[in-house]
Amino acid sequence: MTYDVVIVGSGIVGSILASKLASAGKHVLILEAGVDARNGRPGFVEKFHLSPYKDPESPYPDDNVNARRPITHIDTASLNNPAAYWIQKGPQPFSSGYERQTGGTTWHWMGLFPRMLPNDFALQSKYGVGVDWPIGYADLEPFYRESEETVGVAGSVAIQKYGGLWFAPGYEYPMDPVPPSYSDQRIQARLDGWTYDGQPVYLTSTPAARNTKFYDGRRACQGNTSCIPICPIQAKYDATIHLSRAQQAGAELWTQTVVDKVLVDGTGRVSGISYVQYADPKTPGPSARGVVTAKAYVLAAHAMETPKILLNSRTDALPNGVANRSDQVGRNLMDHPFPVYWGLMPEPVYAMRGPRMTSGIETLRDGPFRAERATFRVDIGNEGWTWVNDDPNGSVADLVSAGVFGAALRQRLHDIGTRSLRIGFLIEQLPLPTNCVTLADQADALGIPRPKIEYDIDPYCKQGFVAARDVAAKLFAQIGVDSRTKILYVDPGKPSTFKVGHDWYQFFGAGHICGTFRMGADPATSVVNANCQAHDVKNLFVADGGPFVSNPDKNCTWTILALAMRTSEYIASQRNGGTL
Amino acid sequence: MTADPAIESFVGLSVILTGFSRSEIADPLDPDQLASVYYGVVKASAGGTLAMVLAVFDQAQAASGGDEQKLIAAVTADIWKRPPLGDLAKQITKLWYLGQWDGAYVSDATYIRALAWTAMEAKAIGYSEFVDQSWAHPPAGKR
Repeated sequence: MTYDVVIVGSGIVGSILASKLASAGKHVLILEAGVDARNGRPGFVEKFHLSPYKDPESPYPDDNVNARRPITHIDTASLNNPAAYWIQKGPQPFSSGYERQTGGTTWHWMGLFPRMLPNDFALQSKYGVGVDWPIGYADLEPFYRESEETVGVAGSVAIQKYGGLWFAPGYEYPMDPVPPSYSDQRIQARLDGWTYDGQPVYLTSTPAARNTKFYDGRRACQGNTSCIPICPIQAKYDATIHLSRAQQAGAELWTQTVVDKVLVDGTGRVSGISYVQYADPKTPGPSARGVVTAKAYVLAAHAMETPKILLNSRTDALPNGVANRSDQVGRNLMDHPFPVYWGLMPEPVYAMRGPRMTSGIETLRDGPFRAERATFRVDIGNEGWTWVNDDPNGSVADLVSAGVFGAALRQRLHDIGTRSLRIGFLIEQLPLPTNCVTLADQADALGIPRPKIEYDIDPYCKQGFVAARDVAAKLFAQIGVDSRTKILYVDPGKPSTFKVGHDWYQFFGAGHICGTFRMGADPATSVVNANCQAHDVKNLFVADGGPFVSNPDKNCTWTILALAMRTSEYIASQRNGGTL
Repeated sequence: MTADPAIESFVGLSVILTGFSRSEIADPLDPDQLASVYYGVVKASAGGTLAMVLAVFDQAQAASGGDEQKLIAAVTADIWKRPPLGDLAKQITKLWYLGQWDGAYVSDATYIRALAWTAMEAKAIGYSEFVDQSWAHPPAGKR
């Protein structure tokens, strides 16, 4: 059986592409490494409730030994941890993970959809740093719109016009924006026209794949404050929705099917995809192997897993792996290193209600400073201290240890809980060839090499941290926040800390993993072209976060999806034109 | 099932330790019967010390003559500040506030109904009460 398209990965890219292509009459096969999780939500919610770690992956099964994924408190916080799936070599730990099951990481994502700014595509030509994209905002704008309409995004064009953003005339988001939380409103009232570095600072509702009304057969958001790691009522979009639609349109889905290699024939085209299947997630080892063939192939297995497949496909003829003439496969690994600040508001704002984040500060995202230091968007949390202090656990433990009980304990907790605030900064990271994922010597239970990661924070990004701390201090002073920030959770010099001047900083991961098979016009310096088509392998498309040339401060799934939409249109036109 | 009469003492002690009223923590119609559940958890894990704590509490309650401030003072001096009784009292306080014993939640219900959420005027993260967009306003009663 030869398919029209084989898609590797059933995350947001794989599922939506499969749905589009199958609806257009194409014969599509989706290969998913993990299990089918679609009936799991009630059990996942309970597992999250009962988990001592409220990490992004805490709701989901940890017992799949054949398709492991990183776990925050094991894989991403330390180097060379023998219990981890990843082989982390440092010097800093890469701190963001992903899911391997149907629907991919949209199970635990936040679902925010800020578009990239026009200048984000041209950092080199505008500011003399980083690398330009081979496409611009105008190339992606129609596909941003298509993505917003496909997924169902709540937003408002009127409040998204900052930093040079523009929208097609007459366009509006499918749903009204997510209402800013009461906490956001009180912060906004206290900002009162405040400016930073000459820029006005105000909060705007962030576009989100979160229903604000009954929409597309799903409920409106009820503010359960667990978007990360799981929406208990599926008001937050996840890719299982389009995975099911793809199947209804005729696509086939094979789960528990891990792709290990892309096979390339003598003409330089993909001749098949090699896979390994396992019968039981808990029993290590393969149950079957095989090869599937198609007219076109899409790898959408995640920016960390896809380069692993390409590198593992090396042969005598292709000693660097498939699509890797440039030697850029696996390189330029980027995230948004994320510092956090927290404290007590001067009045009750009733935290821990609503989506985990409803508003951000977008006005500090672009300007001449980008020649000198990384930009950031400011993320305003609604989850109080539940992340930064593990509350309520942290505050209860602290107070009880200090001898507080009874009515005083209740009152002190009320004071903390109703006034708690957390903000964070998504800081841009430059593409560096030395930040990379390659193949480890160690194999997984199916015999496939595990990811080996080398990672560091570049000086441009570190200067973004310095500016972020300055913004945090002045912002807290302006709105009257009593800071309780502990800059360092660990000793200075430990993994995830670094020093600039006299000050130590610590970063967390933002889950925005990008860059590992970047796009470009020049096959000597990039892996795919502007259509996410491998330069050297014309029937191979490599989508998701890997094509990102840079990782400006935006939550990246929106651009990942817009790129995939553009790729889908290109595949369809090439198929119809007979060139694919 | 015959209720253990010591549950009554456990509830009385819990009222002092948590600052929540008897009707808030031991409603007879509580579908989860948390007071009984928590008494059972503590008794199974530290029955000997619990018996000592409740004996001291019963004495203090009798001596207080219904004066709650007197009772609080006695619990502070004779239980809270007196090892090992005070250590168990701290664990019982955290059990009510967090729904956890020895670092683990007793059940899904104890996560959702941990008193800390109520004290903080919040609700358990990830537990849906099916109310739309309430986050845009202060909680009911504060508007």
